[in-house]
Amino acid sequence: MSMSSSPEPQKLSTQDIVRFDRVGLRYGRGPEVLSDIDLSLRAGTFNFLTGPSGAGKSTLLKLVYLALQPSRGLVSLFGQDISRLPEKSLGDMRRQIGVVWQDFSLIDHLSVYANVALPLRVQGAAPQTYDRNVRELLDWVGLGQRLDASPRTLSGGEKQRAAIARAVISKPKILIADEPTGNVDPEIGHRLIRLFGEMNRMGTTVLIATHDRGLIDQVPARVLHLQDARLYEEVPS
Amino acid sequence: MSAASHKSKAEPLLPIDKAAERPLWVVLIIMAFLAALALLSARMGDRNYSALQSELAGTATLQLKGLTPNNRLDIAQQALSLIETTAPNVNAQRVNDADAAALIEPWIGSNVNNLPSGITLPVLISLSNSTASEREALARAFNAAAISAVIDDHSEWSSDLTRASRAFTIGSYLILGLTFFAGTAATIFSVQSAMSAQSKTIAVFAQVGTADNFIARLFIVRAIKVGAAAAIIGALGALLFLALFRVLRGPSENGLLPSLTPTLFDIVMLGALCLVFALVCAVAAGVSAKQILSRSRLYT
Repeated sequence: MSMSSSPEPQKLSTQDIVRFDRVGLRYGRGPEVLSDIDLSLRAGTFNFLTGPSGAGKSTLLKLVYLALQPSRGLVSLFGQDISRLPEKSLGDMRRQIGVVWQDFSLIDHLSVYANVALPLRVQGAAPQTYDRNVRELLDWVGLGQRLDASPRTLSGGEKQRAAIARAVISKPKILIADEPTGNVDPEIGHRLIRLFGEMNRMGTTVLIATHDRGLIDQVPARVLHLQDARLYEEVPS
Repeated sequence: MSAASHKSKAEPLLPIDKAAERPLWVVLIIMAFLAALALLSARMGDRNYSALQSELAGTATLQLKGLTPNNRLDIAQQALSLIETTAPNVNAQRVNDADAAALIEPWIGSNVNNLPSGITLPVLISLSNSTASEREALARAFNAAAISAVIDDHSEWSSDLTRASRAFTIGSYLILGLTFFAGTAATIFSVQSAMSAQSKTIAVFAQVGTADNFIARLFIVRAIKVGAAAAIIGALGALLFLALFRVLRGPSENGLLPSLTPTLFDIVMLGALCLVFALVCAVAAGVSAKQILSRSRLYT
């Protein structure tokens, strides 16, 4: 993908993009699915979150994405305590976060093109300002011939690529992905990781939840491991 | 602009489910129809009332009493002379016997030439362009001349008419308000249903950082379109209904039936009603959508 139309790379900052202090989360009255989590993601870093199925990786991502509230502890995003976040700031903050969920969350009545352009469209951008970027990005993820297709007609891998394209189109400060290569063949998976790497080189903080060790080995990155509701950092061997 | 970007712009962010919207259309059209009828009724009632009041202003009916068949015409002549001298500005005209007989026909029947003994066909004198002080002066003059006469200035009838007209106008506007209320309720219910049906789409909007106002605006725009179209259909239906009613009722031969012809200003008011109706739907949709989004924030 050509990044010629991208803005100037953001300056790396030592500021924490995401910070968790003794965060705990439970659903209803159940046991804590996350317990005493301390986490700091610095601007411009590439991070993997790994752990067995059901360890709480998706839950942790949802906390980062403001889709869940912690039961205890402090979550701050871009230096702001989210529990004190004014309601009207929620949209602004989410626009700085690109998300790729496991279920892709594509809108079936919109074309692939419109799904990918959605984050820009809802910000009020004129179509002519983003048309080229959307087309280039879709070409790059291998969906250049499926612009007008409905997500219903896409394969699992194509849906995932469309979801990734939508997550990165607005050049977010942080990119969160939940098992992004789960449904794609190795070649596409490799391309996606390159895309994430390119976003990261431009200053985007990346957090990818995966249990694909092959994927983790492709990129020199910080690896966080979730197990038994607690978070550990893997020390490179 | 490329074809794809043009297509993207044309793609509605919220799908239009025509089948699901049909009940809303029906309810809004009926509400707009009733609102338009209520508005037209209020305006026409008010106009007819004003016309009648204007007709009644300055008029009175003078009834000569204690007459016999032999003296009724002489006394009538004396009365007319007395009116001319006492209140020269007042127009006085004797009601002819046929019209007077028609007035008392409900009580004595149509055979006025064969009235029971002791009953004489009354002499009525219609007064117009009279003021209250002139009528009082006439009453004193008739008293002084020993002519038994009653002057009815129609004030009781006018007062009844005012009360009836006021009640009718208030009732019409209340019905108008109720129809707006019902239209608002239908719109809110429809927005709630649509948001529930589109919860997945709305969650995705939230995920990509869409502001609540933007999402609410999607429902507002749809509500304006549906509300305006339903209001126009309803208003046209009301005009058609009125035209049909006029045909069925027939012409007003004696001028007592109210006029049902809308004026140009009535049509302008109907246009304003359509606009207000659409705006009320839009406000209802916007407030409802924002409340739901606010309740379901932050954590989807």
